[in-house]
Amino acid sequence: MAKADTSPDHHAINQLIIALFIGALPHFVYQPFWVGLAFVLMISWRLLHSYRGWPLPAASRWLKVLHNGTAALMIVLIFGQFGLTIGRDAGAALLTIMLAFKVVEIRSLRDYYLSCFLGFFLVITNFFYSQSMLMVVLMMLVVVLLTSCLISVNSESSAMPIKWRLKLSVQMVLQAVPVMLILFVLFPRISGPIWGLPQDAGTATTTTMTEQITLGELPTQTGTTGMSEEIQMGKISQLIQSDEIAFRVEFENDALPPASARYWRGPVLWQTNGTVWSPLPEPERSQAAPQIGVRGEAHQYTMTLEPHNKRWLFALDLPTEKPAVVPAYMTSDAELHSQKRIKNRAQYSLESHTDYQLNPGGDPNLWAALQLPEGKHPRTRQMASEWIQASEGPEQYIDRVLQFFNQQNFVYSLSPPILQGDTVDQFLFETREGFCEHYAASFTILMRAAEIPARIVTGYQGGEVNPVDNVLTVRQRDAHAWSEVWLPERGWVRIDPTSAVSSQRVEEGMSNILPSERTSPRLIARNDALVEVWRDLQNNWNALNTAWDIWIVGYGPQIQKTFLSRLGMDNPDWRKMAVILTLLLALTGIVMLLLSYYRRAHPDPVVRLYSLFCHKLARLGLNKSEHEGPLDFAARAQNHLPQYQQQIESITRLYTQLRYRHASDALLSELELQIKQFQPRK
Amino acid sequence: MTSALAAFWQRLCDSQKQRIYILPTRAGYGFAGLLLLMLLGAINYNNSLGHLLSFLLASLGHVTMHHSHRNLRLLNLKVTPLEPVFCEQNARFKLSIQNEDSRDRYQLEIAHKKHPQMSRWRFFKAYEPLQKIAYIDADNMTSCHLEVKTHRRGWHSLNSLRVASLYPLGLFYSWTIYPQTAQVLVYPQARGKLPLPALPDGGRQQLKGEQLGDDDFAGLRNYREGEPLHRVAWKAVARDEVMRSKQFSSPEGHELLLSWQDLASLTDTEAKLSQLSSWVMQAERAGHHYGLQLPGNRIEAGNGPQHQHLCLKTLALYHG
Repeated sequence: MAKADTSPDHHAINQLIIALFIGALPHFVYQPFWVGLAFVLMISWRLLHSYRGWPLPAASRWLKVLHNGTAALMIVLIFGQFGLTIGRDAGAALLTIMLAFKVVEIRSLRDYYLSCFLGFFLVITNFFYSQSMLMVVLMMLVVVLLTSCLISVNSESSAMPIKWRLKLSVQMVLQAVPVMLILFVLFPRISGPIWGLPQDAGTATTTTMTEQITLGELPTQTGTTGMSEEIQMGKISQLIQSDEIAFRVEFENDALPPASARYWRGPVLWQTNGTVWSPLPEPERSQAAPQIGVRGEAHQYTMTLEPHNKRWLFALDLPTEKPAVVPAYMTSDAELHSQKRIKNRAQYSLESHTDYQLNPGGDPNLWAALQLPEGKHPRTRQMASEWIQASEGPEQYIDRVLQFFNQQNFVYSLSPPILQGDTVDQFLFETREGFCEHYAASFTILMRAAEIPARIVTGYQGGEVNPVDNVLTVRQRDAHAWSEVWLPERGWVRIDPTSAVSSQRVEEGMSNILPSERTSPRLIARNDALVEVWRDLQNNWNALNTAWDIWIVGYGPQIQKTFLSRLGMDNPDWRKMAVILTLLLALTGIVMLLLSYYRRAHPDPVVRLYSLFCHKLARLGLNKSEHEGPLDFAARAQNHLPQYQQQIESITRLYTQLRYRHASDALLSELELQIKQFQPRK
Repeated sequence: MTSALAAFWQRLCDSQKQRIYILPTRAGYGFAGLLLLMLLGAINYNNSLGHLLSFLLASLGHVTMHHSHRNLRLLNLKVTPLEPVFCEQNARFKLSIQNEDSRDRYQLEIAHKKHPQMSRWRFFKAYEPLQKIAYIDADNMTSCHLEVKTHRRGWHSLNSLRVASLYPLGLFYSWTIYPQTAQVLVYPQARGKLPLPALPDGGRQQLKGEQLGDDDFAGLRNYREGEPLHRVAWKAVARDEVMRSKQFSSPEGHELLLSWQDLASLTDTEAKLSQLSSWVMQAERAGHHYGLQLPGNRIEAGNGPQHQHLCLKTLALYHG
């Protein structure tokens, strides 16, 4: 089409460089240092060309070789660093670097457009690393700047000063918001991935990527946090705590269960070799549904689970049904299992009873709850057999064991000493320092040694309620393990040996055990009033983040369905969404078109004409400020534009006359004529 | 309120009179491709903000379309033909564009239709860019000159004008067509090597207009646009600031007849017309009384800019 392929000017290129630099900024943190270094070097080259007249690669063959050679070297480095599969990291690094190399050799408008478009793509790669609000603010700035770059190459700087370009760009982005929202809400979401994802994709939705371990998780996979299927005792002497969110719970009618009943049930562990505990393998597990008897009020709540790349779904102990929206089932040990791995934030509603009976009539897997590793824990077994003989039944025995934990010098510690050899014996009789998994494991061994069926349940305990939105947030640091023993008539009974040692852990939650530095900045940790203010701020910020995480970042196929049903669409599917989407888009288009015909003019023609006069001067960079009177402004304008001195003076005189003394039609038409003929140029 | 609504309705109706066309540019298609890629990436990584960005940019494209459309709306074009020119010179038109909207207009490209009958499907190539207008203020007007190279004598028309723009983002190319009737007369090119025919017997041999005697001065009359500047009576201007041109007269009986028959040596009609045109110019400059004899048409001897125009116009519109 009739478009002259002229090269963009320095201003446009510098503008683009600023936009791209801001867009690439987060990648300096996410990517290896040399990516940032190459980016900075390349844009500096272009800036030195703009300001100092340094030659560009096209100027000589050697520079061309240097430019292309460095680009090739970078590609080799990328392959060296990330391997041959182009995943998220490699792709983002490649894009960042290639963009910088492209900027150096922009010659035509076509190159310029390409760089702008790749800049938009750079924005989206940042979202693959972080979806926080701060990132969105930063990236919106980049979008506005890139848009203004496109405006720059499509208008002349004499016609449109940079301030106007930025203003127009902000205006256009704001005007784009309504349709964006409609698309965001109604565009039928598809659950990815469409093609295979490389290993690094799992971290796409976690907010931070620190390598953290909770509850004896083995450091096998990087980047994921959360529960592991196994518990290993003793190997990990230090529980590394993570403040990352595991899930959030919103209770119907804000009817929260008491703190001591906030047990969030997760994987149930049956098998042990003395150090490692693991669930019952699928073939040995009974397929029978659990028998659940309930009493009292049900708790209804909605869970928003962060992706953990595993299949279990946490629930308040004990859920009575499987969730409706997420395809899932309940195992015989009352564990909720999703059909698919949880790779995205999942939301489901459940009903739980804290007063329940689980399998009171017997459990087909009871045999597994009595297994003990051959020849391990001799001292523990001996103690158990002595005590059970002295007891008048399992209940009395259990009490005695709990008393043992409570009255002997057992210590709840987040950094227990490393256990070697027979871990249970060593813990019970020597170190006596440990946290939930130590107590749960040794308690379970003590039960089994006394022929009482017992198992470990892992999950979370507690959680923080945000008073702002009454959402209960459970973090990784709330991870917990407890025991369940099976008693005739009563079924599986939850017994938390940790509470016998440290009732504070269960009653008040984890955050009170943590040093205050963990919950507030070190600087103010000693000032109670400031800590209070800090907590208030944090609560509000957290509530905002919760809403953001659930409704914006977490808005996927499943939350879309929930949301649309709440809006009154029954049984939303993609066809209904498409129809409503089309209708709404057409409607918005028409409204926008009609709105563009609407004009709001100042009723006073004198003011209208004078603002046209100011507008013409603003084009040359002379902006009249609010407090500036017309005479002062005229003086300033005359100083800047001596060649238009007379015109400016005469227009200002007419204006002040019309505005402040008397109006007459003759003067008005004179003013109109003069202002319309006033075409200042620099 | 009702008056505002009425004004709104009026603007809406006014804009319907002028059809505005809009198509994505190559950059626009590239942008669409980028959006598709982004959306795929966002879906693949289940990235909600990726969706949001794709939708924002798609919506931005939509907004751009409205801006692009609006940039050409409510423009009022007026074309005035300027003075006649000789063939191969540029025909000049004055274009005034009135912006009747409350928004500025930017980056307008004015093109004209080169060939009146060009296939509808090759319309882009049919138009030749003439002028670029960087901006027009809201409720204001701007004017510029359009210069079109001429290749044929006779009436030269702009046919129709196309006002087009890539503003604001270069993603859409929108244009609108204004049919035009304004035309400029193109005289045959003043060209030819043949000398001016001799004056009839008894006439004085005059070589240069400057040597014309003072006694031939016939008087002053108000200056008209198109008259040669050396005829302006500058002394009179200095006196009362009114432009007057000096009129000369040649004595009776010294009439020069520029005749088609004298050009038997030239075979081509256009060459003959060019030669006659050249003679008319020479005779006028020399201050002769001259007439024109064409097959089927004769112009009595005369003198002065109007007479010259009449002769050249006859030549320009000659059908052989």
